[in-house]
Amino acid sequence: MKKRGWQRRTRRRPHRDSLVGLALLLPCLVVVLLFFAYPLIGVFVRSVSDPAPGISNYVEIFSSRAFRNILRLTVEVSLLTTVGCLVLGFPVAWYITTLEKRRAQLFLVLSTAPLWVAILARLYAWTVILGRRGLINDSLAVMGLVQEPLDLLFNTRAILIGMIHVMLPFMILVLYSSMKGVDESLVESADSLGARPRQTFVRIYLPLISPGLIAGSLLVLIMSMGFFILPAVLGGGGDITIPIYVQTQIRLFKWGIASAMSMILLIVTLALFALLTKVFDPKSVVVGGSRR
Amino acid sequence: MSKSIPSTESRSLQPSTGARIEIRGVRHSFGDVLVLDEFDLTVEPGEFLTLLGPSGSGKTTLLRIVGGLTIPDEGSVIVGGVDMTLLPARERGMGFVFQNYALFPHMTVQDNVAFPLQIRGISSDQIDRDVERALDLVNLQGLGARLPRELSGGQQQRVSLARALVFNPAVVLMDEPLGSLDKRLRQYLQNSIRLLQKEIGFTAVYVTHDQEEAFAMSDRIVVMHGGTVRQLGVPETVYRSPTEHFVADFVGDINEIEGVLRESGHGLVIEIAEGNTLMVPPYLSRSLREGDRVLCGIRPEMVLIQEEPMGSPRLQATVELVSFHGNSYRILSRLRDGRRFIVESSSSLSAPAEGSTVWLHWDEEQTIVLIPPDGQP
Amino acid sequence: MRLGKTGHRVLAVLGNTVVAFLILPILVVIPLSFTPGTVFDFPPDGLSLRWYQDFFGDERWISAAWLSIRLGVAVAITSTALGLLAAIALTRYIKKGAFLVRGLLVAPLIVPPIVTAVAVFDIYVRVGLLRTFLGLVVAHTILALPFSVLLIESALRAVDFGPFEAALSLGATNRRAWRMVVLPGITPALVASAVFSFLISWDEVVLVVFIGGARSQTLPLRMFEFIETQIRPTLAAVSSLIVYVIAAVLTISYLRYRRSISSPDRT
Repeated sequence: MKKRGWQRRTRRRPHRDSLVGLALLLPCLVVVLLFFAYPLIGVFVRSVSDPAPGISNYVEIFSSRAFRNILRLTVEVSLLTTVGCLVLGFPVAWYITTLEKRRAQLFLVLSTAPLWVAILARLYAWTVILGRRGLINDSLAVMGLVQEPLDLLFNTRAILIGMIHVMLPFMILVLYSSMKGVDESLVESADSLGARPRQTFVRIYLPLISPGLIAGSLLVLIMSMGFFILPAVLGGGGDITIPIYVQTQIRLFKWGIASAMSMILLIVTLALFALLTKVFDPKSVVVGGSRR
Repeated sequence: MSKSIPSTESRSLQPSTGARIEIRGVRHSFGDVLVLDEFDLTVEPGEFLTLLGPSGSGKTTLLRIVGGLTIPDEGSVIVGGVDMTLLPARERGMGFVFQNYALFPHMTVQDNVAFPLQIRGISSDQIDRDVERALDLVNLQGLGARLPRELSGGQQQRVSLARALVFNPAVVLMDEPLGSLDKRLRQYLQNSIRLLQKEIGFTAVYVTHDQEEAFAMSDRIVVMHGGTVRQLGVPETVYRSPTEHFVADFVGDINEIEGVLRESGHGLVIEIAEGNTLMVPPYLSRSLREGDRVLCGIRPEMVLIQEEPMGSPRLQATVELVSFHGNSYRILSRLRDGRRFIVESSSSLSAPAEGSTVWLHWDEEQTIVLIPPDGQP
Repeated sequence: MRLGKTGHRVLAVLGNTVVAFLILPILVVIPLSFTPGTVFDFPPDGLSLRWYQDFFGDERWISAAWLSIRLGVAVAITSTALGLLAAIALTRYIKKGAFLVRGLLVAPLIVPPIVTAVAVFDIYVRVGLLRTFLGLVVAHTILALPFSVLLIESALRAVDFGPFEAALSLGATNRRAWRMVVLPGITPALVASAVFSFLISWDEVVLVVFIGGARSQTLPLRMFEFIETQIRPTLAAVSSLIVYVIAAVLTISYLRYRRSISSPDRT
C-alpha cells in the first residue's frame, strides 16, 4: 500500500512512533488482555487443574457416554443447521442476484431484517408459533386436523428450526456476495461455446461460487456450535448442548469440567475458523475480469 | 516483434467457409434508451468486418445480438440463410471472444480450450489433438497445464481465441478483444488474428473503438454512432472520403477550415481563407449552391511545409510547437486568422524552427469537403 | 447466472417463500400483542392494549429497558473511542506486531460467547465487577471492539491523504488538517461503529446471564428469564415494540438509500 501523508511520517521517528502507538493501544489492550485473554488462559488452567492437576476432566468427557451424547447433539444440530441454511439460502441468494438493483436491495434488506430484531423477540415468536397453544396447533385444531396438540416446542426439532431461522441471513449474505462476484461474461461465454444451462451451472457456476458455499457453511457451523440461549429457550430438558452443559456446571461450581468443555468447544471453533481463513485466502480466491 | 506469427505450415483447423450474416431492421433499446435503430447490415462470407464507434454507439449490443447473447426488440439476424434471431447462443455455433477474455478461472488452459469440444461430446483423443493444434495455432504450445491467472494478458486473450476457434465456427465475433493490452502486443495480435482469419476463412465481426485497429485489420469498416450506420466502406475510403463530419473526426486527426461556395467563371468553387479556392467534389456538386457554407478538412499528414509561398492551395502559418514522434514530427502552427493547424511530416525531412513563418500547402484533391454538422447546405 | 423463464419462476417462488419464512414468524408477535386474553386466540376476540400497559406499568420492565439503553450508549461510546485510538495506532504507528494486536482485538468475535462468558465471570468474581454497570460495560465493550476496530481502521486506510498533505502545504496545522480532511472521511465509520456497538450490547444475553443479576437486569436478560418462566403476552408487546423500532429504522434507511442511488450526483 502506498503510504501517504501522515502515514509516511512513521519512517522518520520509529522509536517515538511505536511508543505513541503503544499509548494509543493501551486502553484497548488493558481491557482485552485483563478481562478476556487473561481469564481465558485461566479457563484453560482450570480445565487441567480443577479438581486435581492432570487431564482427568478431558478423560472423563471423552469416556463417558452422557458427554459423548452432548458432543454428538451439538455437532449434529450444527451440521443440520448448516445443511438447512445451504438448502434454503441458495435459492434466495441466487434469486436476489437475478433482480434489478432496487428490488435486489429490498430483498437483501428483508432477508437480513431478522438480524436487527433482538434474538429473544425472535425466539419468543417461535415459542408462540410452535407452542402447545401456539399458532400451528391452534390452526390445526380449528381445521379439525388434530385432537391433541402436537409437541412442536421444547425438542431438538424446534432448536433446529430456530437455528436455521437465526443463521439463514448470514448464509444468504455470504452466498449472495459470492454469486454477485461471478462474472456474467463467464456464463455467457459458456453459453456461446455451446453449453446447456445445466452444464454451465455444474461446470462453471458451481465451482466459481464454491468458496462462498464453503465459507458460508463454515461460518454457520462455527456460530451454531456456540449457541446457548436458543437451545435453552426452544429445546427440551434432554437437549443439552455443550454451551448449556457448561452453564449448568458453572452453576454447580464444577469449574474443572465446565472449563474443559469450554476448551473443547473453543478448539473445535478455532480449527474450523482456521479452515475458514484458508478458504478466504486471497490467493486461492478465483477472480473473473470485470465486465464492461 | 520477434515472436513468430502463425504460418501456413502450422495450419490445423479445417478451413471453414464463413457464413453470410444478414442483419435486418434490428432495433433494440435498454429501458428508454434506443441503442440500435432500424439497423441493416450484410457481412459477406469470409469477410473481416469491423464495427467502429465511440462507447454508446451500439456496436457491442449489435455484436451480442448477432451472437445470441441479447435478443433484439425487433428485426432479424440471418446467418448462412438460417434465421437465428431467437436461437440461444449455444445453438448458434459461433465463436465469441470477450474483452475481458472470459476464461474460466478454475480450469487450466487445456480444459478451457477443450470445453466447447467436451460439450459437443467429441472423443477425448480427438479433443487432445484439437486442443493441441488450437494452442499451436495461437503460439501457446506447452502452456496447457497453466491456469489463466498464471498467464499474461496477451496469452490469456490468445487462449480465449483458441477456445473460440477450436470448434471450427463459421462466424467469430470479437468484442474489443485487445482493448486492455499494450500497444505493441495489440499490433502483434492484430496481425495474428488477421492471418488466422484469412487462413481459416471464417466470417469475422470485430468491435473496436480504436480506428487504427479497425484500419489495420478489416476488409470493411462500419462506423457507428447513435445506433445507426454512419459510413460503411473499405478502410481507405472511410479515412480519405468520410461522408460526414462525425466520421471524418472520429477516424483520425483533421484540420478544419470554413469555406463558402462562390460562382467563378468555370462554375462553383469553394473559397477558403487567404484567397484560396478549391474545386467542388463531383459527388457534392449537385447538392451545393452559391453562398452555401462547407467545412474543408485536411489530414495533418497531407500537408507539405514550405518556407516560401508555392503552389495552391496554401496558407500562411506561424510554427508554435514542434514535437518529435520517432517516424514523424507533429507541428502545431497557427494560421493568420488565429486557428490552430496541425501538420504531421516525415521525420526524414527537417522540421521548421519554432516561431518561424511557413506556408502550408496540400493537394487540392486531398481536401475532405463536408457539409457542416449544424448547417444545412 | 440467469435461468430460463420457467426456472426463474421456480426460483422466484422459492426465494419469496424463504424470505417469508424469515420475516413472517417475527411479525406473529404483533397481532398477539393486541390480544385481550392471556393466550393467543385465533381469530382474536377483540383488541386490547393491556400487554403494552403491562410493560409500561411495570417498574421492572421499564428499568430493564432503561438499563439496556444506558448500557448500549455507554458501550457505543467506549467501544468507538477505544476502537478509534486502536485504529489510529494500527494505521499510523504500529508496524511490527500489528497483525498480532489485530488478532487479539478480533478474537472475541471468534471465541464462542459461552466460553467468553465463563472467562469473564471468573475474573469478575475475583475483582468484584459482578452485577455492576461497569462490569457490563466492560464485557460488552470486549464484544463490540472487533467491529469498531475493523470498521474504523478500514475507513482510515481508505481516506485519501492527498488533500491532507495539500492542507498542510497550504499552511494548515496538523490538527486543523485532521479535522478538515480525515474526520469527514471516517465519520460514517464512527457512526457505524457506534450503532453496531449499541446493537451488540442491546441484544447480548449470554454474558449477561452470567454477570448480570437482579440489580443489573438488562432487557434481554429480563426477557430471557420471563420466557423461561411464563409465556404471558407481555413479551409479545415488548417484542412488537422492538419490531416497530427496527422496521421504522430499516424503512427510513432503505428509502434514503433508494433516493441516494436515484439521485444523479452519486455517479
